[in-house]
Amino acid sequence: MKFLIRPLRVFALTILSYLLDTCVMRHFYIGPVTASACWAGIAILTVSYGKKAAFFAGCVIGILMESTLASVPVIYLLSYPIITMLCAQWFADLSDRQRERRKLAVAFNRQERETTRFRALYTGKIISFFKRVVQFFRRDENMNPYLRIPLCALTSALMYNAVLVFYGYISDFGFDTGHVLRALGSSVYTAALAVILMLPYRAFLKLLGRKRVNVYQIEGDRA
Amino acid sequence: MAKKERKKRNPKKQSGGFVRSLVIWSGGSLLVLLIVVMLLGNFFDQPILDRPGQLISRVMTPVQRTVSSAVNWVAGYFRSMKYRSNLEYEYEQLLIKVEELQDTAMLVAEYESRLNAYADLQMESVGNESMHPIAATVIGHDTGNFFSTLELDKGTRDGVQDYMAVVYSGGLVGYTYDVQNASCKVATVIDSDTTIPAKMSSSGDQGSVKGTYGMTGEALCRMYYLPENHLPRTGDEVVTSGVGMPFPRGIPIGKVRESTRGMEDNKQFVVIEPIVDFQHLEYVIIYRYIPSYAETAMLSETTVTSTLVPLSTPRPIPEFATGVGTSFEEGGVSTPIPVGETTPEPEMTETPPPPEDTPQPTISFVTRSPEPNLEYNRTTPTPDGPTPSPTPTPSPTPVPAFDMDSLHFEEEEDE
Repeated sequence: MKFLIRPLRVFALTILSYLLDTCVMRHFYIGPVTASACWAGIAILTVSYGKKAAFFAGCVIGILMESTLASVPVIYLLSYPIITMLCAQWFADLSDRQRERRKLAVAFNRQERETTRFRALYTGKIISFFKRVVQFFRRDENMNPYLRIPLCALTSALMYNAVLVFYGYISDFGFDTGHVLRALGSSVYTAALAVILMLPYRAFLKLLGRKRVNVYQIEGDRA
Repeated sequence: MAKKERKKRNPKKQSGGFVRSLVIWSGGSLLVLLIVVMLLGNFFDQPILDRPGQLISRVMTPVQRTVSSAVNWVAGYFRSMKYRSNLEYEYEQLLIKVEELQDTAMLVAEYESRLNAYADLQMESVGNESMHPIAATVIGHDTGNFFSTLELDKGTRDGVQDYMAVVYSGGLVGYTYDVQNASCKVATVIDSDTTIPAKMSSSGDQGSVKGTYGMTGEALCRMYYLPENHLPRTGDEVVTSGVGMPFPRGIPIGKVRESTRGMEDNKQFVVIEPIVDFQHLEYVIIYRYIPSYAETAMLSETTVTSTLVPLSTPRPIPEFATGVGTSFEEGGVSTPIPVGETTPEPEMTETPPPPEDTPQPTISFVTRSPEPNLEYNRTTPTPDGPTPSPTPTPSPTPVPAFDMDSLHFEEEEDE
């Protein structure tokens, strides 16, 4: 039954995140905004345990929210799993197959860039910046998880707040700078909360202080 | 061998990989199914579709309530801690504020007492303007144990002379002496060398007040030479009599402290408590009162003087003619007038008009100004000023005088 420990840990952290979000975070308002402990927990699980755990956590939190706090029907139920899966695509650990594919793609891009360097002169700085951003998400190696967690939390909270703002807009709540600022503030606060929570969460997940395994080196040694 | 190596390489797959996958996939499927059912429950009004949500809510609500109450307790505790620290901070701030307010109150009290002093001085000056008051600042105190003198910043250049009355807050401080150009000294009424003619305000009994500071060390006075048949009451006021010294009369000196008489060198005295607080004198008023002018002014009235100038010629004597040939002559005989004859009308001789150059008698009116207010005009000092006067006690019951003549003695019949 050892294989159940990991899902149980994920479940426990999911419930804990939900309880933090619903019972604790209302005491930590900064101005008009508060952080979402759910998105912070989901981001930590996404980076730590991968897409399946993220999907699991997103679904559970969505169902719990819909069951207990369904002020807006369907929104929680759909947005949590969907946004979680979208962010997991970007921030979860790469699988071996994906890493190999990325490696080949990066090598190919580098070769192509060498041959077509003169084109960069005409593409301009803005386009090259966007290219770098895209390449940042298509790297052949995983980024530092302690950097990915706040980024994942920030992205998912931004997307979630964008959904809420859009829902408010179509529900005649209006749309102005105040809504945008509140959404941005809440997202940044969620990222900060993720930074605070990632150490105890990862300690609970037995991932704190663990060295990254260089798979290729192990393979090379074996060869 | 190959199986062993495969086990070494991937041990997880060997221990329950299938079950793990089964659990994960079944869990995922269950979650998706739940989501679908709940989604359908939002669109279709079927009770069975709402059951999963209700079940989850029923399970989660107690947990959430417990956690929420625990969190609320902790939050309340921290809030009370914060409130307590705020209270301590506010308490410290309030203490600082109280100290500041106390300083301000002291300053206000100081300003108020000074204002009262100024108001008293103003009232004194306005009420006794005819005595030519001038305000002076006390620039020196005699700190000795036997003399009580003050030094003021006004002198001869301000019109101050010796023996001018110095008052403060409706009470006599003393009189000036040793007047210099820009300063003068004041012998206070409590000084043992000071003797001021005074009288009892109620009865008008006169005496003289002398200070006791040098004798007993107390800021009191004694009143000597009071009539023996009158004992003043406690609280009777003693004022200056204006006799013997160039002082305005009626300036309060003090109140009778005890309605008993003391004895000193065969002289009876009454203890007087001065009105003025000599410990806290800062400003005084000098009355530049000149008695010679005042006495002249007092005696002067509105007089009418007339100067009669005699006429140059005597008044003419009228002459009467009674008949023809009849004249009032010495030794003449009067002729009777016959009956039936009409008496001729006498002719009136015209009186000669008076000479034009006769001077008319001149009457000159010499009008004096109204009598100046030479009596000291009492001013009501402010409550913060001098010591309030004690309530006077009723005068002692008069002792009936026995006349020996009015007494009747009954003789004893037995004898």
